[in-house]
Amino acid sequence: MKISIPIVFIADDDSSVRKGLERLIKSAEFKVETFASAEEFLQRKPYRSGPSCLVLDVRMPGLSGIDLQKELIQKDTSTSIIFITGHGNIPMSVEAMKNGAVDFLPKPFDEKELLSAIIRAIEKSDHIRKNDDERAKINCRVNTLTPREYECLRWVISGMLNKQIASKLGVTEKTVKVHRGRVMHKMQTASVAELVRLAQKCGITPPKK
Amino acid sequence: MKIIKKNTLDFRKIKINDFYTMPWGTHLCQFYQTKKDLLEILIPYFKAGLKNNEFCIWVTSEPLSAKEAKNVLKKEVKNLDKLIKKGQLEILDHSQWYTKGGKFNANKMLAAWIEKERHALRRGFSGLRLTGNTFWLEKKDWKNFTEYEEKVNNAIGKLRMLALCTYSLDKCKASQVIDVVNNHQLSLIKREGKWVSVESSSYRKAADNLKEINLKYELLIDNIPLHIAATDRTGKFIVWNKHSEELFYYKKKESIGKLEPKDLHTSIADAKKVIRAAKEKGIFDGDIKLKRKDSSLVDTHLVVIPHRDERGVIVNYYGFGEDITERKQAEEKIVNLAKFPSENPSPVLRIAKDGKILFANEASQLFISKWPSAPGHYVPYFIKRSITDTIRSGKKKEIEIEDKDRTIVFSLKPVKEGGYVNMYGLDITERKRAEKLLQGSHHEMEKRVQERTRELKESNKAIEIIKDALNRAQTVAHIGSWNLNTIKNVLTWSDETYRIFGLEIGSPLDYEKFLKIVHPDDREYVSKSWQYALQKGLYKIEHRIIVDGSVKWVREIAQVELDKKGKAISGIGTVQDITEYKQQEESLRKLQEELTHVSRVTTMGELTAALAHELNQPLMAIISNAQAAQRFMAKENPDLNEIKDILADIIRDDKRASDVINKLKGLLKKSELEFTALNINDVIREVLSLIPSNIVINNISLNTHLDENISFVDGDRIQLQQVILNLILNSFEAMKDAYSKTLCIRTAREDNGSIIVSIEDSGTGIDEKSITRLFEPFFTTKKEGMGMGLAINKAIINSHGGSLWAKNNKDKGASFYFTLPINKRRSE
Repeated sequence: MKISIPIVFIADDDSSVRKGLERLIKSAEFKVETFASAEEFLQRKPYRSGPSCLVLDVRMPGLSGIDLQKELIQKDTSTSIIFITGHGNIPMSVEAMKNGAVDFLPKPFDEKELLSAIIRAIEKSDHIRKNDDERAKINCRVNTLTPREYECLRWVISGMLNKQIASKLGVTEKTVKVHRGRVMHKMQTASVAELVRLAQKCGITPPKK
Repeated sequence: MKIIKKNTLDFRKIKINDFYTMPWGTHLCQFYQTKKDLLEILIPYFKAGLKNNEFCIWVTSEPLSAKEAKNVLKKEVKNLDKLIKKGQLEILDHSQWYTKGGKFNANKMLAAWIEKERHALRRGFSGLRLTGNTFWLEKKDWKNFTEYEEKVNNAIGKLRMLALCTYSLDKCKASQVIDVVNNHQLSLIKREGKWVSVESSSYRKAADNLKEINLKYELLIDNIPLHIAATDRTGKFIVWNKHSEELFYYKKKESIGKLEPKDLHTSIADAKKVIRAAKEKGIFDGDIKLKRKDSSLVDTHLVVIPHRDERGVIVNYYGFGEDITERKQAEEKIVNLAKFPSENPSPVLRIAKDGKILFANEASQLFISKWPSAPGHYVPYFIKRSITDTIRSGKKKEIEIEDKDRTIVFSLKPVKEGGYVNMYGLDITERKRAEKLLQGSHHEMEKRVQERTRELKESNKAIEIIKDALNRAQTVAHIGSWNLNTIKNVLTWSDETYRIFGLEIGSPLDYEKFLKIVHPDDREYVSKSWQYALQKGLYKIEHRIIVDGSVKWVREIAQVELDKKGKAISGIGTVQDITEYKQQEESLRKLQEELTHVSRVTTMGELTAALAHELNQPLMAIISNAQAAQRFMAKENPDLNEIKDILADIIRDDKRASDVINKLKGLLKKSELEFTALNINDVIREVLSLIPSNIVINNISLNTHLDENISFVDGDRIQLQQVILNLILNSFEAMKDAYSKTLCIRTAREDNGSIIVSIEDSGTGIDEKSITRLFEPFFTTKKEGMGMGLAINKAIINSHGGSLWAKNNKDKGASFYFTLPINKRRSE
């Protein structure tokens, strides 16, 4: 098991604010990295050693905080975002929250507000990472399936009996039994219910009947 | 000619033993040796006859007695007794028939047979079927009998009769056999136990001939365009040609042997009338309505003649018919045509050359009272003279006759070959009267026309002068004019309009051609405005056109004339080339854009917002640092250097924050404003000079009511301009979706030593709930905007010692008012 170290990023164009926040968050025993612009943050290579969150100023010269959030969604990272703003308005905050921000804090805010938001953000990030890990694992298993077994898996999770699958695939029931056995083995599951859960997790859907 | 199958004389088709379908007129013989031979043929022969509803006569002789014959037949025909009782079958001994009167007489015998046949037909039987045995014949009788057989053979073809003569082979000599065979169409002989038929060669030839003749005959009568039909003594048709099919819709097979003449008549009386005439007079010849298969009636000219045999008995009727529908219609037409002149409301007469009236319609009697105008009378002398004249010359002539208070003109048309004249009259009383009136007024009219012509000429000259002047004026002013007749869609342009639109003067025009010149982006706007004008009568637009590849601006003002129903009749308008003006406006607009950009940056509201942001940043830093320091201090071994740094940062950020606050204070400080004595009207005009294109683009009508005797006020020109500009732009915003957009700016002097400025719009008005909060900072109803504009305006006006407020108008929209104290020094 790898060691998981959470990290907090700060992106704000105001150096005083950056510095103040860095100190505050460090005092809460978090690893911190600061950036003076959205562009600067985008240049950093993705952090993979643990959950991460970004304390992001909405209004910055160049790419704004909201724009950066959109970029990150595209990149499919596990970093969750807390917005901070000098003068935010409602539409802006609604958009940010809709896009998955953990919180939207108007400046100046209290340490408790910020730290609790950071803890929530780190937890969220951790959850995303774990999900991603599991999906990756399942995908590894799925990748070991032959195309025929994969097809068989899709029919199985649609709730069909061996006999029905056999007629769909145009093979004997016995062959389906064999395929099915191999699928269960390769997917490392003992029950169809579990198989369905795994399939759902990595986005495998039953075929259209 | 197809007659029922039984009369088909093709003997080769006769099958032995098939006595059912044997045709009428068949005369055959049988040579027998034994009684059994006889019965083999005769039993089926009679069975068929009885079944076919034929009258049957069996004349017996040795070796078969009448009684024996009856007994044998009884076995085969169940109800024989009944049939005999009914009279359908007679079984006689030869002595009761051939030699009844003692000696055999061929003529008498034949007549007896014919009588029997007639009897059969009268009784309702379909014909006569007979057999006679010749065993009784003595040698001396043979010749006589042969003659008889010959007669029968000749006669039988026309009769509904079948005759089978039986001869004992043992009694016949070879020569006699030949006689017998020759005298019969067919002979039945038993060969090696089987019956075969032998055909008489002469009959075969005759039959072939007859068949050929029949075919020719059939072809011939089919091609005669007359309905031709014939009946035999049963009354049924035996001839029915093609034309009959067409005339009556009955096909040959439907009529022959089935149909009777009475089926074609509309009533039994009609049918009887025709037959009676044919019987009694030897012919029926007349027009009669006959009935078709579909019960429709057809006018027919029908000729029916009877055909009698040598004894004078009618054996056939021949009918010839012709469709005379068209003739009838023509006749009717003629009758109607004849009515035509008599129904004429004008007098029509025909006069013989001696002056005798041959025809006069009713109208003649109505119009002519001076002389008797009924046929048979003579016309007066003066007319007679004209009639003789026209007949002689052969030329038409007109004479006018005055009668009572009417004038009638007669046109006389001679018909030389008829020796008479047709007179067609026409009542011209009214025309005469009108002519007289006209003559009287003619002179007067002429005078007037001359006067009008002179006037017209003069006014035309005046119009020419005006036109010329207008053209010159238009050229100078770059204003063209046009005229559109919307009903006829005729568009006319003045010369200058042609010049503006870059078309050759006088070239043909229509609205579509005009629209092509309009800038593509403006076409929809132009045609929509025109459609609006066609309903409301108002047309005042500015749009671009493309002339010789370059863009020009024109201003069009037009008035559309509407009829009572509001439908456009015509439009008259002017076109002004405003390209230069627009170019000036454009440069002005650019200037204004720069100005508003500058003013936006310097607008207090924006500045305040920026300052607020500026203030938040150091505050944020301070609070973060302070809280971080607290946390560090709480640790076991606090890093004092770190805390030192933090405190230094806090102090720096605190300074930064106070700088921001001072800047904001300074902005609102009175001392920094440049107060001068101002004429508020000038300030307003300066602002208005910045926004003309806003007004045009938004289609806003702007009114100013500026009190020119207004007093001077003290104020900062830029700040006051900002306030006014802001209020005007606000009202534009409020009127964005309004149908009619009116902005009114007023200035006036108040009694309390101040002036008041009002800016009234026709927009959406202000929500009553919001009206009190309107001037609070950050209050806004707009989607974009800080909500600082009005707050700053209020601050500026307040700093000038005045007040700013808003009120909804009574009808629609809202008004903003501000007051400013009068500068007493300058004003007094």
